[in-house]
Amino acid sequence: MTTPHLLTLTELVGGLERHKGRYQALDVFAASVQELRDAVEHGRLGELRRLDPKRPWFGFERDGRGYQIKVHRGIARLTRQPGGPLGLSEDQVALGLLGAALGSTKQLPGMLLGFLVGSQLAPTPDAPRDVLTVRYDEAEARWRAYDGPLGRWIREEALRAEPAMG
Amino acid sequence: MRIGLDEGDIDRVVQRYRLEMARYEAAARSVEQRLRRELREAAIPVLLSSRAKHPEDVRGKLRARRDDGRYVVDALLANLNQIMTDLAGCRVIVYDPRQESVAADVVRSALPGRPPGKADEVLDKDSGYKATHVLVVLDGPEVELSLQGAICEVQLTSIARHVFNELSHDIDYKHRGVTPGGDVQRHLRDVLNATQRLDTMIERLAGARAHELESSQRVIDDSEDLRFVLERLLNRPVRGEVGKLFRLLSAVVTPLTALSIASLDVPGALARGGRAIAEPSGSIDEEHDDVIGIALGLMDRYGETFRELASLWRGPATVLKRAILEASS
Repeated sequence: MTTPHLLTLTELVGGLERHKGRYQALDVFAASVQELRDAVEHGRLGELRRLDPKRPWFGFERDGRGYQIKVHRGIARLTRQPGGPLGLSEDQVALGLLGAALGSTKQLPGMLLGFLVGSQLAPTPDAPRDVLTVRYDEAEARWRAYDGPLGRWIREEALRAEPAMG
Repeated sequence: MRIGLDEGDIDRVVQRYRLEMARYEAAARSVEQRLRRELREAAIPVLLSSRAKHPEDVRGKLRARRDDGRYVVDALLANLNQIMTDLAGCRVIVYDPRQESVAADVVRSALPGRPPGKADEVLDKDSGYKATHVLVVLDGPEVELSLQGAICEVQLTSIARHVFNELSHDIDYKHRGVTPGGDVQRHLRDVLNATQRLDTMIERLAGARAHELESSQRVIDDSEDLRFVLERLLNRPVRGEVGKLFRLLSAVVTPLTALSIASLDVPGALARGGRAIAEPSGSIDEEHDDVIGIALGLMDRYGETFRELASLWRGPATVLKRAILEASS
């Protein structure tokens, strides 16, 4: 049996930046992210830097740019880092929080899905937003738009986790 | 050439039809399956059925038309279907009577082959019979060789009117020697009145539901509800692949509610899309419908994504898919 492909932070950044700034966040199932699983399994945060003492929020850099990844209820949200120094020091509390938030009970659908979240269509509190469900195509090593049957699942999970993402 | 059919002629034609009946059953079923897909894409809820004409009904029709100049035995034996065009039949029953004409457009666009000299019939008879009849010819590369050239009559009507049409037809054509009396005529008129009232009530119900959706924050989670909302925004029936439009919009906007659809300025998008379709020739092709107009009108905002999503759609390339893939943002 082959090991299922997991998404790396670099691939997540590729998904977020694919539309050149149109979307502010990319949500994926946290259990699909290689570095988050590695951190829990090996007890080391690696390149991730803690951003919050009480929540599993982390920072990292790609190509000189800062990003943050927040985990809640099995969903990991990647956003651009607004600036400033990256993170607190690594500790076991963060790993414990991450392990709890990773959502080990979430079953992977055999497909690497993401949910891009963009800006609101109107300047009102409940206004709808630009979004796009995407799928990571392992064969082509790139993200593609997705409107298949699992789209609703990642969307609902992502929107449920969103209020806790700050 | 001898005009008029005797019983021997009719027997020969009916025997010949028995041998060909399986072809008409297959033709009718093929039309039904095609329309089931297309009407689902258009988000028009319908009841569909199909049949080949029963040999005894063929016999009855031949007897009734035995003195008709077109019903010549040699011509009937050479190609019965050219003269009797309802050997294969498919019935499309809509719930909301306003969708009869929209569904008829779906039929015309899905099955564009027509027998020469046969125009569509929009019937609203004094007898109360009301339906749209469209004759289609099965042709094209996707049609099985054995069905090529078969004619199928597609009848469209509302579910309420269908009740009257069927009862009235049975009384008129199958009275078996018992002429309908005064009571039957009166009750039939009552059924017609009830039918007309039910059609009106269904229209009102659909309108009220559209209004309810429009003013709520409820998420639009299927294409039929999207149709309600679009028809409310445009104040008329919407033509085109509403199912595909639902897939496009639900992929790029959340939450998809009547409010968020209104914030996309659908009438404005339709106008922009119409201009895009008209360029460069300046005229709008009949194939282009409301959904294509709306999708093209939103291309400046979602062009890249719409193209990517449309390229993933399986099945034959529809006019909508081609329009999206060929459009510039």
